[in-house]
Parts: sequence; structure tokens; C-alpha cells
Amino acid sequence: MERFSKLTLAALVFAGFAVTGCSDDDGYSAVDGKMPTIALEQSEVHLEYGMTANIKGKITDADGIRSINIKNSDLYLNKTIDILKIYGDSKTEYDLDYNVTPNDTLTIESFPLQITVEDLVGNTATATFIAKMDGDFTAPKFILEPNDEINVIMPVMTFKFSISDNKGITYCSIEIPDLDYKSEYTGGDKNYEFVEKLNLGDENRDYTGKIIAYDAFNNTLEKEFTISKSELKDYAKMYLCDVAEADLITDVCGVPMLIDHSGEFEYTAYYFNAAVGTEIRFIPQNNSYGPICFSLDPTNHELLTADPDQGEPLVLDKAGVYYKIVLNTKQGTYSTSTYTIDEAVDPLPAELGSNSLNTWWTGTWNPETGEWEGADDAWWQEFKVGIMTDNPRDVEPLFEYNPQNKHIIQVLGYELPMGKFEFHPHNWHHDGWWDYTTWKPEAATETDPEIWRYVGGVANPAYNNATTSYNNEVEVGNHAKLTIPKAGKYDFIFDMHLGRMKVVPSK
Amino acid sequence: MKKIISIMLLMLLTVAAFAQNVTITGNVKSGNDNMPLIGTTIVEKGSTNGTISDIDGNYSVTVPSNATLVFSMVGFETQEISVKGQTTINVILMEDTKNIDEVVVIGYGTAKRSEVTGSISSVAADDITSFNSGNAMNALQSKINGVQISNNGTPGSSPRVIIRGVTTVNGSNPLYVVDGMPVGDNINFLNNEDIESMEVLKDASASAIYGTRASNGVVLITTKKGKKGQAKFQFTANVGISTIGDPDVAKASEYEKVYKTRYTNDKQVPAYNGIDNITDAEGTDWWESTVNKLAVTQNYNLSFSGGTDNFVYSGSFGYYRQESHYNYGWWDKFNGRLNTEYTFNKYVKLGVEFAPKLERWDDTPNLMGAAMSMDPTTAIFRYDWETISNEYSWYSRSNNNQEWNPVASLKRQTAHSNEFGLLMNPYIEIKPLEGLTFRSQFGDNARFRISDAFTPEFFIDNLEQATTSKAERNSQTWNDWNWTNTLNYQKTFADAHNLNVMVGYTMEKFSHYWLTGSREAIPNNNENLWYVSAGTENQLASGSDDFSTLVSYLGRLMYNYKSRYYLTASVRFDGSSKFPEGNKFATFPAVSLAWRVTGEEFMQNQHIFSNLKLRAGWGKVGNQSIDNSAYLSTIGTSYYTVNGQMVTGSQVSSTANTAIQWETVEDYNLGLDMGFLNDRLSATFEIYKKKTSDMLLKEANLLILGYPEWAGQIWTNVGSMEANGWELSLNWKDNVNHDFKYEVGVNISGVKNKAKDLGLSSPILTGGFNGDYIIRNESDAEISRFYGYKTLGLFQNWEDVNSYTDEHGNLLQPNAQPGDLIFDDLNNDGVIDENDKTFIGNAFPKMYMGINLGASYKNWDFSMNFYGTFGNDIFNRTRERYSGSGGQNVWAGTLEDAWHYEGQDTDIPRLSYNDANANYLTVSDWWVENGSYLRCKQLQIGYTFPQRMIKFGTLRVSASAQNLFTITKYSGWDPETAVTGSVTESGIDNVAYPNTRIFMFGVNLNF
Repeated sequence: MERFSKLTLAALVFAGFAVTGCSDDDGYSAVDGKMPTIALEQSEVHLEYGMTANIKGKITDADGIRSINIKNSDLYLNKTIDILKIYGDSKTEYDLDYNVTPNDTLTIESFPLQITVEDLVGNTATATFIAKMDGDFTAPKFILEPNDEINVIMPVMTFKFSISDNKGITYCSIEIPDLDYKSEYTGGDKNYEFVEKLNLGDENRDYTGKIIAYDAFNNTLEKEFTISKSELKDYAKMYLCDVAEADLITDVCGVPMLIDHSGEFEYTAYYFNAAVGTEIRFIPQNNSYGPICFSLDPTNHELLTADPDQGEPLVLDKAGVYYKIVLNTKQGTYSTSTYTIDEAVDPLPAELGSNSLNTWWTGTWNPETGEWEGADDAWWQEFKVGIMTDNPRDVEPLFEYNPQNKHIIQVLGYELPMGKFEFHPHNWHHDGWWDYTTWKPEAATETDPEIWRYVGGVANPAYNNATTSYNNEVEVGNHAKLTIPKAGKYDFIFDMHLGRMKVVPSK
Repeated sequence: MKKIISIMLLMLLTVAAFAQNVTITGNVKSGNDNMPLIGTTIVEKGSTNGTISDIDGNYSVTVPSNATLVFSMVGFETQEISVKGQTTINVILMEDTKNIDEVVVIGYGTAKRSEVTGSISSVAADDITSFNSGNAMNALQSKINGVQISNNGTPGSSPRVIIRGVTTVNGSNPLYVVDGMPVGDNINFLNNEDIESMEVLKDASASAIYGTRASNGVVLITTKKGKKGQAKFQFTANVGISTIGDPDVAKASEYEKVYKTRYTNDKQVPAYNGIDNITDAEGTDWWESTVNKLAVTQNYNLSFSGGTDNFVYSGSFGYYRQESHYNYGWWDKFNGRLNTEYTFNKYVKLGVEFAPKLERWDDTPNLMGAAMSMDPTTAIFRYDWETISNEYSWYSRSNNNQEWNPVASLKRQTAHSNEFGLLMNPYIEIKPLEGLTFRSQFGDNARFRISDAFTPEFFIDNLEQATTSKAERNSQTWNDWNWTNTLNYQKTFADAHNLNVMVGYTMEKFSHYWLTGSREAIPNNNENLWYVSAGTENQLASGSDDFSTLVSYLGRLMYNYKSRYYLTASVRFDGSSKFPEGNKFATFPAVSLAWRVTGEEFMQNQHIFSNLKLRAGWGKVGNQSIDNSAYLSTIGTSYYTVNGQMVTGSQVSSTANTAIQWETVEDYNLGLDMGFLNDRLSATFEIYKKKTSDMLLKEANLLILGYPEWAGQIWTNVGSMEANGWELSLNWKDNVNHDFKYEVGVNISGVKNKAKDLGLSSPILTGGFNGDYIIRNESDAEISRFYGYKTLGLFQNWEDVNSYTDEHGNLLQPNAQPGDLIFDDLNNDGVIDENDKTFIGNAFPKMYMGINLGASYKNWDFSMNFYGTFGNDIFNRTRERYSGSGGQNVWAGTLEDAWHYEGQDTDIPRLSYNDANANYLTVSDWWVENGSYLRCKQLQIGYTFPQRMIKFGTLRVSASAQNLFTITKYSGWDPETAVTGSVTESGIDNVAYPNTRIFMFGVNLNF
């Protein structure tokens, strides 16, 4: 009998195992007890640093997938996708779609990512996905890009462009068929600069050309352009240039400075001269001195020449004043006059740093508390203006006065990462109220804003400067959408009187 | 000393020389059941000589033959028997029915304790005066069950009082009634020594007789009245020292390191001003420079009473002063009181209560936060201060943050107020028939306050200056009168039916008049020119009056049959000027029943219960805490900025709701009173439910009407709240022997406050926090709960950060670094956003507890009181002081305690200038701490000098400590202060003035 009992017990235990199958501690039962399967769409990718590796594949397990772990110690990655937590239940099929972005400061050549899948009953399976960092997906790019239309009035022009590529320029050519001109480069350097004099002759006509450049992975840059040999045009835009030619392409915005088109062939520039001896030129293109540059005729300083190779800069000899310069490009004449900082007016309604910004008064005076009560209490808050990126509570850093000119406010040495940076100048407000004091870029130029319109609700009553005052008919954007070419420190220098701001790398 | 001992010995010898000793034996029995009484104290009157009865009630004591023996036992009436040569004295002690027949005030009348059917708690004068405070309610902490009292330590502050939970968002303070005169919601003006008793009407069946203003409960205060007999005087003096601890903030050297580390951790160059590598000695201890370690509290009182058959009187003069822990800021009050009553004949009695007072205070500044935050590398004074004539400009601007110099701020404090007041309460009582009493009382409570303030012109920095000086004066007058007429009839029929009927009529008016004026540009800061008339620019003046009135009809019937079955029913019909025609009047009925089970025949032979009483009550009470003009649209003055100039204009300042009506609270109460062992042990258990309907809320008006947001809000009856709770009180008192007596009391209660419906206003978001909010009050949920993100600790390494992604590899916290907080993606949607917020704490406690211990041994007495709350959370904003954000000073040890290596055992995030992960800008459970605490509110030891030493009266001296210690896990400064706040915004610790530890020394002389 005893023996029968033992056998019965053993049979029951065995039957129990047979019925329930294997199970883990959580009490899940196996369906087929097999290991999970991992079917990756690809097991290897070629990337550049900063690019994202996309791990895609299908994972299946009849017992139910518990979790997926993706691990690589060089990437400091040990991610577990907890299927139970995310979906509240296991899945028998899961479409893996996971992005990994190796940090661009890393120098390791490949990253094997181990993918481990565990099912509900404890079975595991692994697969490896390798991200190799030997790819090249970046096409060559212009450092100095020729304009689409290049207006030339002189028979000989200097044609310039420069290109760079992150891994090396395998080939570059420039071809102008009507001039029967072609130049080729096959050097393999990361940077290539083209400077060549082209003889266009005296005939007024257009010449089309094309620049082609590519790297070892055939990432290609192409640019078509037209050189238009013509008489002098009444250019829509004219810029005041007070920097060396190389600095025309290192700014983020505002260099050179757009001036007013005040009449046919007539342009008026307002400019604050900080130091004696500042050299200025006027150019209709914004990235180089050539092919047209209005500067002093070396033979007669009373007149202007358009030849960038011959002209001499106009030298400003009074410091700490505003210059008004009127030039007529048709007649080649110009005139200068000055006015003082005090004579200049800007729209700022109060001094920065003063406790002068009132909140809205309302409510009822409560003599017990000695305060206005209601939705808001009345009080003066500090008036400060800064770089606003989100809302009037998030105004940082703050502008400070330029020590030389109270109309210029500036933020120096502001650290910015590479990429897009959106902002506009705005006052800080305790309650986050908008548009008390603010400037916005003209909508058309918000990626490289040239004019900043004052659109604040309150302005200095004396401010009526025609060059920048708010005009409802002028469309304004919201944030300026700057492109920061590389991480570093930048200076924001804003002349409120002129409505002009430049953002340049800190020196 | 030798001389005193010699005199004492001589006195003892003198006593011994006058009488021979005899030994007396006897037996003590209970008059109730004729059973022996064990533990009866038998003592020779006027001495400590005595004994106690044994298990059979027998005793033996040796006393002088001319002595008087005093027989006492808890629950029995004390007897005194002269020995007169007897050697055997047997005594039968009768049950002391004083406790159950003690008279309590019930509102528009009095009743025997045994007749009370509602929930009423009483506190006697001794319990109030034993705790030294400027506000009597502070003394009630721990002593009344179901009443939550919390306060801060600011001189003159009044406590937040919540009776049995909150049922409205319109405040929580109860109605205070002094000698029948409603006096509003603050009793700071009262002299505690004048109070004879306080009764707290906790349920609606007790408080509905006060109808419209009783929704938060009613506190009835009765002042001391004269008694027939010789004039008696009492002088009390209490002097105390308040101490405050130093907050443990960083010294200069650690501050500099923390400041710089915040930048370097973010790979930025520190923008640090001041001495590099500064030593602590070179820095400034701003706390020590701003806050005094000690502050003095004083309280003196002289009272007298006496009278003849026809005339009784009682009076007092009191002075109370509390200094703040600053060199500026205090509160004092002078109180006088004269209560007289003249009985003309058996029909007519006339009385007058006359209580003038003067309160004065300098506003206590709020600079503790600034003293903790100020940059310790900054010197107090500018280096060139001697060259500056304006003494308010001698001070330094902070080197590294925007905090204003707290020492300079303290120097500029000039806000002072004087308030004169007079409370008069004349009355006449006429008893034309046996049992019928007519009483007419006209009370007037007038107050007049003048407040002056001066803001000096000064310049410390562009961001810390006043470009012009300003003088302000504010004058206010309050005059409230109340005319109460009641007719009361009491009669017992057939020795079984006891009837007490009251009907009444009251009229009340509340008036407030105010005028304020100011001018700027006073010629200089000289104190002689701190007057409005000295100003030369920007003169402003405004003033107005406001009134409200109330007229009421009331009635109450109290009936009991043979002191076993009790019925109380009351009704009040209130009409208020705050409501429009058609809704001005409302009815507030109440009814309660009680059964005194121990009065039944079948309970006479049981020995378990000495008292057993069941109570049940229901009632409705109201709330009218809204603007006087809620049903009127009003136009107010407003100021606008036009072209940068401020101009005066008008605007709609409030919008009418012509259908508005009373907020009503319906209340149910069940109670059980029990007494055991001849009432040595007593217990009370109660459960209750309070539900508000038509709760008054300010709702947004239709936007289409075009009102500005604030004026578009109108009062509406849309809300509903509910409070459910229970209370358990246990009290034990006993005499161990004739020398040693003790008592222990424990009060425990719990309440859950729930907003059933907050109308369109739901959720009500309060507690602003970096553009977000801390508290979310929503319908069908408990109120004042913290709402934010849950955290999962700190990222310990980059693997933690990079792996905290959604299932597709997108970083959940892209700006995080090791050492930053991990916010929980609660809904697992792969984004940390508003949808991941949840309730992370509850400001209101789940349970309250009061423990009261008392003992006496011979001439020594001892008492100890504890008060605590349990199950509540505190949003501890002082944890921000670990961040150093804005260059503010940090808690000492932050440099080490803030995360700075993998695996560090800390929950404090890394130091960061940018705080890109928003560790300190996000409402999360990282800020929330358990706010439970148990505090020793008072420990007192007293000694009463023997009568043989003080021939002319009695003298007691005492020493006590208030807020002696606190048992809590809360890391902030004061868990009690932290739980104060409004009903919908409780439990946020913003560094208020804490409850300080006070050591008091007192003298009490009666003659």
C-alpha cells in the first residue's frame, strides 16, 4: 500500500509537470519552449559619426517575448525594452525598430551591438548588429558660394569659390561653355579654393556655368550660375562692409550690414563708427568684395568706383558718432555727415536694469494688507531685455549696454551648440506677458535677418526712425532662425537705433 | 538659607506644641453601592500628612486631635471631617455628579453637561493660561479632539484652525463668540487670563444655532465673572526666552566651491565675483548678522473679583509682549476688562462687560530666506561706506546673486501699527415668572487702527535701490454691533419631564471704514520727516466704506425624560445683506438625541460603566464668506499706462450673480460617551460626516461678455465638498496615594477632506512653481494634493542616460547627464510630458494626535503636552537650497552631498549652472517628504509654596518649555509651519517664521 501511495504521488508530480510544462518563477507557461528568433533586416551598417544607426528586424517567440536588450559598452548603452511594462502583456511578434546615434566625439571604428531577447519562460536568444563608422554620406559644400546670378560691369572679373568636404574632394570642375572655359581638380584635399580672372569682354550678355564636385563615395555638389555682363544696375540691396573680405562669410548674420535703398541708384547708410580709421565699402553682393564693390576712386576720392580691384576704402575719421552716408552709384558720388549718440533715438521705453516695467494695475486696494488685490497685484519689475527663445520668462542671457553707445546692446561670448538657434530680443516679464518691448526679423530674411523691426507694445515716445520703426505693412517673422555653423562662443551686437544686429563668432 | 530652615523648623515645633497626636482608624465606602473604596486619600488638612485606604476601604492615620481630615477620591465628592477627639471615623463618599452636571455654554444659553446631545468640547481656564501664548487657540493644541491648530512663530500671528476637516474652499477658521458677541475669526485681542472657559461646538447639531457662519464650527468663549465674597486678587507674571536654531547653510569657502562647480560641471567658465579661495573667516555669516538667537516674551496680569448679594465684579489688567528674532518686529497688547453685574431684585438683573485694549506692533520682516540665500562672500558694508551720507546706502550688493542685502533690508523696516479697541456688552435679564428669563444684550466691538510705513531713498546698486522715498498712512475703523434678545423657559413637570425652551431674535451690523494716503520724495530720510505731509511728489489717497448686516430668528427646544432620554432641536432663520432679494433668508435646522444608558434601572447593579451615553445628531449650517457685493456688478478705479504714463480710469471690477444663495453644510454625528471605574477612565468615540452643497466658488464668466478675466469671475453656487472623520478620546486620572496624583489623556482623530464637485473651476491649480503648479484640486478627490512627476533616482552613469529611451531609441531625457534626476515615464508612451504627472503627496494629515500628561506630588506639579499630525506630506521647497541656482547660498555639505561620482549614496542631483534637465524646475516627488511629526508642545513644572510659608495667600512658581522637541523625519525646518496655508494650497514649505523653542518662568500669586 505504501509503495502504491509513493508511486501515485510520483505519477501526480510527473503529470503536473507534463500538464504545466516548464514555467519561470512568475508562473508563465511555455507554449513551445523554444528560443526566440531574431531576424534583422540587416546586420551591418556603414555610418558617419553623428548619424543614426537604425536596427530593424522582426522578433518572434511563441511563448511570449518578455524583453529585448541592446547593449554596447563603447556607446554606454544597455537598453532593455520591457515589453510587459510597455504593453502590459507579452507579444509573440515584435517589430524591432531602435535607433542608436554614436556620439560624434567618439573615434572607435565599429560598434557591435548585442541584441538579447528573453521570453516569458526564460529562454534567450542573441544577435549582433554592427555599426561601422567608415561611411561617408556628406557631400562637399561651399565655403564661399557664388551667387546664382553674378552681375558684372567690368570686362574682367575675378571668379572665386571655395569648397570643403569632411573626407576629401575627389573631383571638382567649373565649366563655362560660352567662354570655352573649363577647370578641373582631382587633388583629394578636404578644402579647395578656386580663384581665377575671367575675361568677359565688353559685350553685355549672359554666360551660364556649372560647378561639380564629389567625394570618394560620389556624394556630389552641383551649382549652376549665370554671369551677367551688363551696364550698372539699380540694385535692390546694398550692404555696408566694414570687415575684411574673409570675415564676410564667417558671420552668422548681420555682416555685411544692409543699408537703405533711398532712391533710384541712391543708397543711404547709417552707421555707428566706434573707432577712428574704420574702413568701409559698399557691395551689392553679401559674401565677397567682388565682382562689384563701390569704394573710393583712387584717382579722385570725391568719386566712387565699382571696381573691387581698383577702389580704395572710405576711411571714417570721427569716432563715437553716427555717420550718414548717401551714395549715388550711377553718378559715382557720395556725401557724408554725422550726428551724435544723443541725437540718435532708439525705441527702448526705459533704461535696462531700472525697476520701471509695470504690471497691469487692477483689483481692489486692501488696506489690511496694504496691497492691491485681485487677479494681479501692482508692482514694478525690473526692465531687462535679453535673448528670448521660448517665452518672456525665459529671456536669457540678458543684453547689456555697449559701454560706448547706449543705443547698442550686446551679449558677448554666448556659448551656442552647432545647429539651429531661434530667438528674438524681448523684455523679461515676471508673468510671462508678451510684446512689451521686442524686435522681430523681417519674415523674408529670418534665417539671415538683416532688418529687425521694433514691434513692442510700448516705445520711447521720441522714437520715429523711419529706417526701423514698426510698419504694419511690413511682414515680420517670429524668431530669427539662425544656423550656428559650429559650437562656440558668439557675440550678439544689436544697434537698436538702426534696427540692425550682427551675430559673429567671439574673438 | 539657614535662617529660612530655622524658621521652618520653628513653625513645625510651634504646630507640634499646640496639639497632641491621636491615631484614627476607619472605613470608606461608596454611597452609590455601599462597596469599600480602595485608594481613597485621607490627608490632614493643610499638611502633607496622610494615607490611603486599603483593599477593604480601611485606613489608619495619626494626626493632631484638633485636625481636620480630608477624604478624596476620583469620581466622588470630597469630604472634610473634624477629628475633635474621635479615634474612629467611617465615611461614605457620594458619587461626584459635578462632572456630568457641570454647566457648559451652548450658544444663547447654558446647559448641564449631562443634557448636551451634540458634540461640544470644553477647556477650562487653567488649561488655557498654563500655555503662554498671545492667542488662546494655541493653548488648545492637543487638548480638543478633532481640532487642527497650526501656527508659525511670527509675533502676533494667529493660528490656522480647522474643526473636523474642511468643507469649503472659502476659509477654515471657525466663528468666535465672546460672551455672546460674535467677534470674527481672530481672537488675538483677548487676554488669555480673562477666559473662564472655551467651548468648541464641533457638529452642526450644536452649532446650527449660529446658522450662517457656523460651517467651520463655533468657539464660544466665556470671560471670568465676579463671585460673591471678599475681594480676591491674582497676579501672574511669565517671562520667557525664545531661541531659534542656526540653519546649516554653507560658509564662504564652500559657497565659492559650489558656485564654481556649478559652472565647471557644465563646462563653463565660472562667472564668480569676489575673493578667490576665500576662507570662512573672510566671509559673512548673514544669519548671525540678521537674526538674533534669543528673543524675549513677557506676560503680566493682575486680576480681581468679588461681590455682595446684589453686586459682583471681576476685572483685570494685562500686558503681553512678544519680540521677534530680528532687531525689528514685535507685538504687544494692553488689555483691560471689567465685568459687573447688579441684581436689583428677584426679577431684574443688569450687567456690563467692558473690555478696552491697545495692540501695537512693528511688522516682523520676512528675511530668514534672504539671510540663508545671501552670498556669504559679500561683506555687509561697502568698503567706502564712510564716504556716503545716506546710512541706508552703506550696504554691499551681493557679489554673486540677486538677493538683496538682508541687513540693509532690516535697517529699512519702518512699518508700525497701533490698534485701539473696545468691546462692550451691556445686558439686562428679567425673570417675570418662575423659570422664564428674558435677556437682552447689546454688544459693540469697535476697533481703530493706524498703520504707518516709510520707505527710505537709498542706492546700493542699480538693481537694489529706491529712487525715491515714500511715506504712507492707513487708517481703518471697524465697528460691529450685535443686539441679541432671548426668551428662555425652564420647567420640570412631574419630576420627569425637563423642558428648556429658548426663542430669540438678533440683529447685527458689520462696518468697515478705511482711508489711505501716501506721498513720495520726502526731502530726506530723517525720522522726523516720516510723515505723508512731508512728501513732495505723487500724492495718492483712497478710501471707502463697506457694510454687511444680518438679522436672525432662532429657537431651541431641549427636553429630557428622567435624565435618560434627551432631545435637542434648534432652528435659525437667517437673513443676510450679502444675498439678493429672494435668497436673503435661509433656514438652518438641527436635531439631536441622546440616551444616557447608565440612567436606566437595569444598569444600576452593573459595575463596568459608571457612565454610558449614546448621542446622534443632524443639522445644517451655512457659510457666507463672500464679497459683500457679490450679487452686484461694481465699477472700480483702475490705472492704465498710456504712453508710459500712469493714468486713472474705471473698469468693471466685479460681475454680479443675482441668483447667488447660501452655501450649506449638512452634518451627521454619532457619539458614544463612556466612563469606567467611577469615571477614572473615560472615553468618547464619535464619527461624523459633513457635506457641503451649493458651495460658493468664483467661476469664469462667459468670455463673449468681454470682461477682463479677473472681473469676469462671478460668485456661483456650484461646488460640493465632503469631510468624513472619527474621534477617539481616552482619559485616565487617578490618585496613587495622597501625595501623588496623575492623569493621562490621549486624543486621536482622523478626517478625509474630499472635493466632490468644484464646478467649472476644476481643477483648481495652486502653488505656483517655475511656471507650473504644485497642487491640483479636482472634483471627486481629496484636496490640496501635490501633482507632479515621479522620480526613479539619479542617473549614475552615461549608460543609464543613453539607455533611458523609448522602445525606438529616442532619449526620454535628452538633456540629462549622470547625476540628474530620472523622471518616470508613467504611461510608457515614450515621452516625459504632462501626461506622466500624477498625485505625489497629500497635504492634509490622515490622523491627528494629542497627548496630555499631568501629575502632582505633594506641592509639585507637572504637565506635558504633545501634539502631532500623521500621514501628511510636505512639499519642501527648502530643498532648492541644494541647487545654488541664481548664485544663492546652499545647505552646508552640498559640495559633498550633491552627486559627483557613480554609485554615490545620495539623492541630491549634481551641481549644474544650467540645470538643463530641470531637476530644480520640475514639480516632482523629489521635493515631497513625510510631514508627520509629534511635538512636545509644553513641559511644565510648578511648585506651590505651602500655606504655612505664604500666610496671605498662595504662591506658585513654574518653569516650562514650549516646543521643546519634535519627533519627525521631515528634513525641513518646522513641520508645523509647513502645513499652514489656505484650504486649497496647504503643505508647501516656503521657509516661514518657525515655531521657536521658548523657556518660560512664571509666578502666580493669589491673595
